[in-house]
Amino acid sequence: MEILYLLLPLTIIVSIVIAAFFLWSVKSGQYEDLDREPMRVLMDDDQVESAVSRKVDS
Amino acid sequence: MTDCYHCGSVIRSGRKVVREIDGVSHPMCCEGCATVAAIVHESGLEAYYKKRTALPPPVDESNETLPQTFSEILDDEAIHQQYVDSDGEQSTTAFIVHNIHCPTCVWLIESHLVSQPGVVDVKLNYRTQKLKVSWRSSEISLSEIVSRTQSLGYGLVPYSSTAISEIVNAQHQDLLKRMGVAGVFGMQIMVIAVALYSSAWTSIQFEYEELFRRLSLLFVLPVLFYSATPIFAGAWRDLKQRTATMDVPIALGLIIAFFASLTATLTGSGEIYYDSIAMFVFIQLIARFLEKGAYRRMTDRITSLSASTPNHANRLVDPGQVHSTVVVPALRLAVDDFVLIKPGEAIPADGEIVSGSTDVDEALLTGESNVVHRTIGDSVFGGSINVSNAVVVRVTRPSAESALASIVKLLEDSMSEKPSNTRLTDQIAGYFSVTVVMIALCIGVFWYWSGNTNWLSYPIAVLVVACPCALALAVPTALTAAVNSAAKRNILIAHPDAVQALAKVNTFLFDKTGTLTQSQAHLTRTEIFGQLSQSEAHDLAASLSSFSDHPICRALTDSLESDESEVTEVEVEHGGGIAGYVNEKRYYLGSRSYIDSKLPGAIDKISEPMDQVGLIAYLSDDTGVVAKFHFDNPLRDDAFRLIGRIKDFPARLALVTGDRQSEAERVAEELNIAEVHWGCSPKGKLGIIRSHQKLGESVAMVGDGINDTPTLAIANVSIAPARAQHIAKANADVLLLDDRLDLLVTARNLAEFTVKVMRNNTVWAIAYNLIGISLAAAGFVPPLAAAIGMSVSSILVVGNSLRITAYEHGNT
Repeated sequence: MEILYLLLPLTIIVSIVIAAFFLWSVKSGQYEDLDREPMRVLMDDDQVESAVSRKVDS
Repeated sequence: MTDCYHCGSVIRSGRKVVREIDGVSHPMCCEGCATVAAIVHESGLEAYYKKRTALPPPVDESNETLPQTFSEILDDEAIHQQYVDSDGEQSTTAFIVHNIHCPTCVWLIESHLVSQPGVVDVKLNYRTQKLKVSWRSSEISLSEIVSRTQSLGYGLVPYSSTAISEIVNAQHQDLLKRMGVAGVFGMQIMVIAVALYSSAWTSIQFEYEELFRRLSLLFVLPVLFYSATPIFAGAWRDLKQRTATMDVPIALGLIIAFFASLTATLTGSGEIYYDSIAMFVFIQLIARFLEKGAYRRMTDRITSLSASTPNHANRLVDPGQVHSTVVVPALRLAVDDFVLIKPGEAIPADGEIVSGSTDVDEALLTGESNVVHRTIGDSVFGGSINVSNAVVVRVTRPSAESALASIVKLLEDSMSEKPSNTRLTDQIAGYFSVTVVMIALCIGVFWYWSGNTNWLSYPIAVLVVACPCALALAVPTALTAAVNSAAKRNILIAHPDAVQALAKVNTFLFDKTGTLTQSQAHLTRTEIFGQLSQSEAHDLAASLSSFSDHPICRALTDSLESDESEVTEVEVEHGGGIAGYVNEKRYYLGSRSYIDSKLPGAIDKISEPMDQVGLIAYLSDDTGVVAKFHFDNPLRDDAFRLIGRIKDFPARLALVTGDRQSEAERVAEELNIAEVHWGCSPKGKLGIIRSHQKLGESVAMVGDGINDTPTLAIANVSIAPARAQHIAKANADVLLLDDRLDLLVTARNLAEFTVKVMRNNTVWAIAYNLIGISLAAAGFVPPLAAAIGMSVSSILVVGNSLRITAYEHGNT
């Protein structure tokens, strides 16, 4: 059972990383508009030609 | 029958417009739809039509209800100062977008705007309907951006964020973070707790048990010192104010449980409660998060409703020249400016008429639905509507000091008097925490005196078990379920307290015009005297009516589908009638007194009684009266449906109106309302509500206009119907999103049911705690039992609250 001395500290680190990621995602506004995100996947293919090319040019 | 390509509505015959797009002709219902469809295709955004999940309303129709933003004033310095953030080169501003119906709209607007040269960034939030645009002012103007968006059939209103919505959003984010942290670390603690609990059946080496307990301690620190801080802060605030809410017993339970566990961990003997602490904080935060989430949705909705177009005015460049005007923001108007006010426009500031004469609708200020005639030298008030003719007004008081502004002031004053609803659980919590502490003390003393060496563990167990998890969930979960369930039925409850208030209401006060009756008059009956046929009389009346914008004339032209004949030598007498030649014969159309003055004795010939009810107009030629038109300000269909259903529950109904007695009594009689107050000014209405409240009654006010807003604010519950004006909606506790007044009954039943569920929950939670405390006092509650009891009681409470979501009452 000595393996616990490795696994438990690992748990601590992983938990902290997960919590940090979550805090970052809230802070960057990813939970602001939950209705629109599912649509984005569908609409990405239809990006307007002109808008895309203009952004590339500039 | 075909459907419109753009809006999908059925195309009425005769209105069909065909527009060719990419070589294919598409049927359209109106010019507006055709134009929008063409723009969508030109910008290469036709994917909108494939991907959308909801249909927009017909463009021509929705344009009438959308707030019009006047692009001219958007480039004005004063507007920029109020709404735009600029760093010299790049400017940013926010709008509320009206008419967004599905997430594809978001994509359409963003893609269309971002393809405009000069636009740097566009972000549209579907939930809040808030559009944030950044642009380079050297390349594109604000008015250009606005008109681009409007060309797609959406309405735009400049937005300046209100303090309330910012605070609510910040709180929401903060709570989400704390909840997430409690979840992540709480789960680790629970996994470890399973290992520790299983040691009751199989053995565990002391070394590893110690390790697990210390690790739990480590994991509980962020939960307690980061996630749970709002609970401690709330408890501390309550203690300082010497009031007791739920936070006090919760914080007490957490602190005791933590220190008991801490001692146990450090000394290596005794029980630990880390899992209970973590789970408890997590469940608490979920409840708060749900509650705040419902509240945030409401605030967002209300913010977008209350955003309205900045007032504007047509200022004369030169007081002598009526034809050259500039559009300026109303805020820019100064005393002695000359302003042209066209029919249908709102008067931007208090002033005095210097040219022309017109009828003014002062309903917003006085509650009077009849128009008042105003001519040169008369005063007009900001906020009233010019009904009939264009006039020039000299401003006498700037916009900010106008009569409308003073109504808003009255509103703010009455807001501060609003009776607050003390929360059921908070009252209980006060007694609860005191009782629990007393019990724990007694038990500690008892076991100490009875000589038990382990005496301290008993009061600690009591305090941990007494931590009122289920009790704290009892009310918020029920309220959140009620608010969400109401929203599904198109009833918007602006804040959770309104649910309890609504369940208590025993008097419903209704405003008349616009709420119970339609806002416009209708022709009901035509009587013919003489040789004319009915359709000839209608033709004549409609032809004459088209020369005036008087409400009666509008009702005549609207309700008669006729071929209009040419009228010559028209004379319009305001507030009286119209005379003119049709086919070389002179006709008069007007009120009784108008016809009496033109043709004395004509009306006596048709033997009219003097005391007639309702609105009547006469048409006569030189020989006598030829036709008589009866008008009606009909009741809305849903008013009858409402009255039919409202009898089901014990609430009194009353009518308050600024209208005259005969009209008020007619409406009350038709709807079977016993209590009628007529001729009320906004102040008079406040008095009526106060007198009801003095009798100990709980009053709900249902009203739709600006003049109702002070009364809406003072009533225990204020309700605004779907057609209400923005300002009334923004101040209402309950908003009906569907044009059906009988939703009121649904709302009321739902509120009553919610209060019942809340009582259930509370009684059950208290019962659980009492049993738990007695067992703990006897020493029968190990930590595992405490953890199980806590989760089961919480789940039961949440499950009970979910019944509200599934609640159906009759034909809701």
